[in-house]
Amino acid sequence: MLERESNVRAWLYLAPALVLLTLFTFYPLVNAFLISFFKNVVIEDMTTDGFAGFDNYIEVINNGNFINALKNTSVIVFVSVPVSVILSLLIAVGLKSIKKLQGVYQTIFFLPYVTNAIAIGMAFAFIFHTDWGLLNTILQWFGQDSADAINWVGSGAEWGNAMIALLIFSIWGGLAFKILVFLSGLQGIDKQYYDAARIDSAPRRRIFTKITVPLLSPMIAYITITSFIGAFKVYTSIVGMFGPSMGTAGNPRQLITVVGLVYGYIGEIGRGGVAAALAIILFLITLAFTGIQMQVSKRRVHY
Amino acid sequence: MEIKLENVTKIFQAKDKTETVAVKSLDITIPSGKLIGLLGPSGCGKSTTLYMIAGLLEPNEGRIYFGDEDVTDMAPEDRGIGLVFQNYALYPHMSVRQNIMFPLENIKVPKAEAIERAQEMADLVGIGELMDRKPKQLSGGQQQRVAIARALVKKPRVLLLDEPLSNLDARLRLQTREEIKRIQRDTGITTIFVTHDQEEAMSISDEIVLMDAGVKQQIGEPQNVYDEPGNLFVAKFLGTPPINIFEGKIEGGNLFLNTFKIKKFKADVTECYIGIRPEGFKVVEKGVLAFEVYMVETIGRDTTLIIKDPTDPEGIKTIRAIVDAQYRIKPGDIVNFDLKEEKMFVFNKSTGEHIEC
Repeated sequence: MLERESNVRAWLYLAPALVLLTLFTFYPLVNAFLISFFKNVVIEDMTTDGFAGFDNYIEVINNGNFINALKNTSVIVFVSVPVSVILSLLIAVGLKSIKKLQGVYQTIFFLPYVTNAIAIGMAFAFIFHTDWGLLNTILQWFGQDSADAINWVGSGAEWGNAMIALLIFSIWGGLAFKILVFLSGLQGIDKQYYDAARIDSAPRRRIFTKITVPLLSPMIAYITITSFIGAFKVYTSIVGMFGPSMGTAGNPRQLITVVGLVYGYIGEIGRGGVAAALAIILFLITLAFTGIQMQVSKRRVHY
Repeated sequence: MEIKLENVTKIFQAKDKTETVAVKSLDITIPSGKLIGLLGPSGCGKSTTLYMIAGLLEPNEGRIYFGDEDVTDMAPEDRGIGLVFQNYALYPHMSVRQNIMFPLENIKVPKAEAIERAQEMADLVGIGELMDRKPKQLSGGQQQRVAIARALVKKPRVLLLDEPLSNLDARLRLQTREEIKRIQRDTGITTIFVTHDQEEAMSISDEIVLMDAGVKQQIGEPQNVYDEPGNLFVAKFLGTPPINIFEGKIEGGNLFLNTFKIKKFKADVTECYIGIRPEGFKVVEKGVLAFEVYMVETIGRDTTLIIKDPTDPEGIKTIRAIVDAQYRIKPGDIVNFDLKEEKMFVFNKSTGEHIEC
C-alpha cells in the first residue's frame, strides 16, 4: 500500500520531465528513424508517401557531397577536439598557478562561452580577411610579403586554408567551457598531493603527467567524450564564419558538414526522409565512436 | 641529524590584513636520532612548526639548522626530509609499489634498484605483500605505513609526521604508535611527530616539546616534564585524568587551601594555584585535608573519588582523587587526605609559573 503510494508520487514528480522529453526528444527520435524509410516526406505537415526501404540511405551515400561532408566533419572532430582539450588543460593548469588577477584571466577565457557563435564567427571572418585581416597583418610583421597574403576565407580560398581558419575558430570557441571544467577539477585536487610531490622532488613535468592528469582523468574523459559528440554535430560555427552556403564565395559547400547536409535536405520540399536517413547515419557513427571511447577510457580513467 | 630552531616566528596574514602569530620566537634543539613529539592543543602552532622544518612554510623570522647547515632558505626538496601527511596524501591512482617508488623515480634511481629499495622499505614497515594494491584497497593503518615507507625510501635525514595517528581507530592507534617507535629505532632517523594527544606523545617520545599559543612551554623527557611542570599550562595539559587545580593562599609562611593548612611555604606572592595530581592523595586517619566524597568509581585496582571542589563558590566543579581500592569508601563519607609532596605543585596566580618551595 505504502509502496504503491510512493510509486505514484514518484511518477508524479517525474511526469513534467517525462512529458516534455517524450514530446520533444523521444518522439522526434523515433519519428526520424521511421520517416527515414519513406519517400516524399514533407517536414512542414509530416505527410509521408510510400515505403522506400533503404532507398533514402542509398541516395545519401551516393550524394557527391556526402563524402565531402564526412571528410570535413572528421577533420574537425579529430583535430579540433584533441587540440582544444590539450590546450584548455594547459591553460587551466596555468591559470591555477597564477596568484594575482586570477579572476580577471578566468573571465577573459570564459567570455567566448557566453558570446553568440554567429557574432564570433563574423568577428573571425574579419580576422582572416586577406587584405586587412588581423592574422595576415601579424604574419606580415614577421616578414611575410603583402603580395603573398594568404587567402584564408575569401573568394576562391583553398580548402586547406579555409579549414585551418575554421579549426582555429572552433578550437578557440571550444576552449572556454573546457577550461572552466578543468579549473573546477583542479580546485578539487587536494593540495597535499602537490606538497608531497614537492618534498619528493618531483619535476614539474612529472607532477603534471603523473599527478595532475591522472587525478583529473574523469573530467578529461567527460570533456573529451562530450566534445567529440558535439564536434560530430558541428554546424553553427561554419555558418557563422562562412554563411549559409558553408563555403567560400565561388566555392559553396566547400566546408559542408554532415549536419550541414542534413539541413540542406530539410530545405528541399519532400526530402525529409533523406534528411532523416542522414541523421540516423550520423547518429550511428557517433554512437559507435563513443562506445569505443568509453572502452578505452575504462582503462585510463581513475575514478 | 640535530635540528635547531633559532628564534623562529611565523605570522599568517589574512585577506583583510589581520595578522595571526602562529609561532612566536621559538627556540628548540632536537637531538639527533631521537623520536620527538611536538605536542599542544589545536592551534598552538605545532603543525606550522613542522611545515617550517619541512620547508613548505617559510618563517618570517629566525633560522632553522640541520646540523651545522642553515636550511632556512632551502627548498623542501633539497632538505632531505621525509614527510607523512595527516591524511597520508597517497596518490590514489598508483599502486603501493608505484607510490613508494615515486620519490626514487624523481631522482632517477635505476628502475631495478628502485624496485628493490621500495620492497625493502615495504618489508620494514610490514606491508611487503600489499605492493600491487591501490591505496583505496588498504585499511587506514596500512595506508599510514605506505606513507611512512614512501617518506623513508629516499633515505631522508629527518622524518616528519603530521598527526600520524589521528585518522586511526583507537586499537589501531595503540598498535601503530608502537610501530612508529620500532621503525624509528630500527632506522635511527631523527623523527619529529606532531600530536595533540598527550598520552600518545608521552608513550613513545624520547622527548616532548610542549607548545601553547605559538610559544614553547617546556621541552624534555616525557616523565620529567610530567613530574616537574614548569607552569600551570604544562601541568594541566599532561596527565589523565587531568591534574586538580585549586585556588590557594600563601599567608604567614604557610600554604592554605581554603581553611586547610597544607604546609609551610615561603613565597613573594599571596595568591596562587595549587595543583594536585589525582594520584597525589593518600587516605589517612587524620590528614591535612578532609573532603566529603560525592561519587565513587571503582575500576579494579583503583578507586576514583569524585569530590565537589571546596574552593568553587558555586559548588559545581569536581576534583578527582585516585586511591587504592582497598578503602571501602561510600558517597557522603568524610575522608582525610595527606598529600604526596612530589605530586603537588604551586603556581603563581598571575604568571602561571611554577613556584619552588
